[in-house]
Amino acid sequence: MLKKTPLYEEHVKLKARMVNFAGFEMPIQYSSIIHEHMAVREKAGIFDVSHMGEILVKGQKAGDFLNGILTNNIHKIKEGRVQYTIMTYEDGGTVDDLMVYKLSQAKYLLVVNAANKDKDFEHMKSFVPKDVTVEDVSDEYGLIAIQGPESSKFVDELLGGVELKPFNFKTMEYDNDTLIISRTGYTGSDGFEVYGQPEAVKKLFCKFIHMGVTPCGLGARDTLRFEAGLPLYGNELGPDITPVEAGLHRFIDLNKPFNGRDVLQAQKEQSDRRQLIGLKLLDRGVPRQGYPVYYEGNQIGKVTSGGFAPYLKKYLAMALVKIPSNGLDNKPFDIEIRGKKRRAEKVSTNFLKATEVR
Amino acid sequence: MSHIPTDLKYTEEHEWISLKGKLGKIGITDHAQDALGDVVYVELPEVGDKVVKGEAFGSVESVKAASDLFAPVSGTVVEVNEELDDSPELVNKSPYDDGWMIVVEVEDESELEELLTPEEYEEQVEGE
Repeated sequence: MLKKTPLYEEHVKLKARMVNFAGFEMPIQYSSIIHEHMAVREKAGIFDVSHMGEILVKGQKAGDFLNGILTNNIHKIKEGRVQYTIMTYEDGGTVDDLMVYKLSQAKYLLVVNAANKDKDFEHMKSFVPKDVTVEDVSDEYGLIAIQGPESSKFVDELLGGVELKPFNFKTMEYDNDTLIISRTGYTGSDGFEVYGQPEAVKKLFCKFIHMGVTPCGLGARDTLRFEAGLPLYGNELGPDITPVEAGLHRFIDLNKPFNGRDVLQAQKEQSDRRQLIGLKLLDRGVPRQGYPVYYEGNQIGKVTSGGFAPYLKKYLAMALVKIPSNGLDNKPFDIEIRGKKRRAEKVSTNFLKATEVR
Repeated sequence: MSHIPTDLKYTEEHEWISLKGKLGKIGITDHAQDALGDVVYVELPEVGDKVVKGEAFGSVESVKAASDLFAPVSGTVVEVNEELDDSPELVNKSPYDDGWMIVVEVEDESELEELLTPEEYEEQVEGE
């Protein structure tokens, strides 16, 4: 039996195409993925992401507990800030990537991938000390994301001047409902995420749609995060892919102990390890997940995510590859696309910054 | 409800063909473009290439997936829609007109009789 989010009826009313995603019946698209993608890059779009998991961690030692299971250092941020971080196994592999909201020194809200929620919860419980509590509160929250350059205009109009800097959040009252609103997102454009009781989130979703914000499905969510070079668990991260291999050094603090720290430390210093690179097609073709990547005739890895980037209007890929020990000599890479080798050049995975718009 | 012109013949794989003399113009149906979603790339044969009835002659790729294109008839490619190189979205906007893919010189016109009529194709689409 598939679960439904609080917004299910709204999706049906908006004639969304629904799919099964992580056990939820979710909208993949309303109009067209590219139309929704462009709305977020140029104006504003709204996503139902209520399927995401929320885990509450409480206790005086909650911060220390999190620091032992997550790569980033939670003590480095103040209350009211959000931190992107990775949960790792002892072998350095990835349990999940997530956001931590620091509600107070002794209270943290973790927002995790829907498909990983139960696994994350069990993993956390296996490490949690007696004086810290870990609680799955996913069913108590609905979650919407308003994303795009005009998102702040719409958010200010509906919720009053919100005044949040990136990666900051605040708790606010709206229409007798308590909301958590953060300036965060998963699109590479400016935006906000709003957490609240299911009914409150439903009300806000309908109001934003009425104001002219474009409803966007999981299809556009994926093309947007890909075009921004943001990793997706299951593609760029997984039990067999470490955050070091995925190039997430900014979110790893090796100066504190955590599960897998020594493996990640050693990996960081190893020059011929796998690494995530960006590729831009020089020939025509659509690279997709799993396609082999070659350098000078040898297979060196695979595409983790690929496709047409609608705003940049380029065919791009992220690939996990082992760079030959003698380095690169400016020759193009090859991606095998449906039986044919297509040339591609290495670019930064920060595609939005690295690639000129045609 | 997808649009199914009555003057065309169809394959079970959702291609259409219109025949004028010995020349058959080929594309994919409105139902197919709608199911694929935004088309971002179309790979087509070159003029002079042979296509064989029932075999792949190219591919169409949407944001979500890649699909083979199957030849409704055998013949030689005499024209290719080069507009689709820069504007693959024509397949979505105008599947039966500007979004056409290739024109072939048909070897054996009787092959068209084995294709689906508009009524038969509509029945198939409704059954999906």
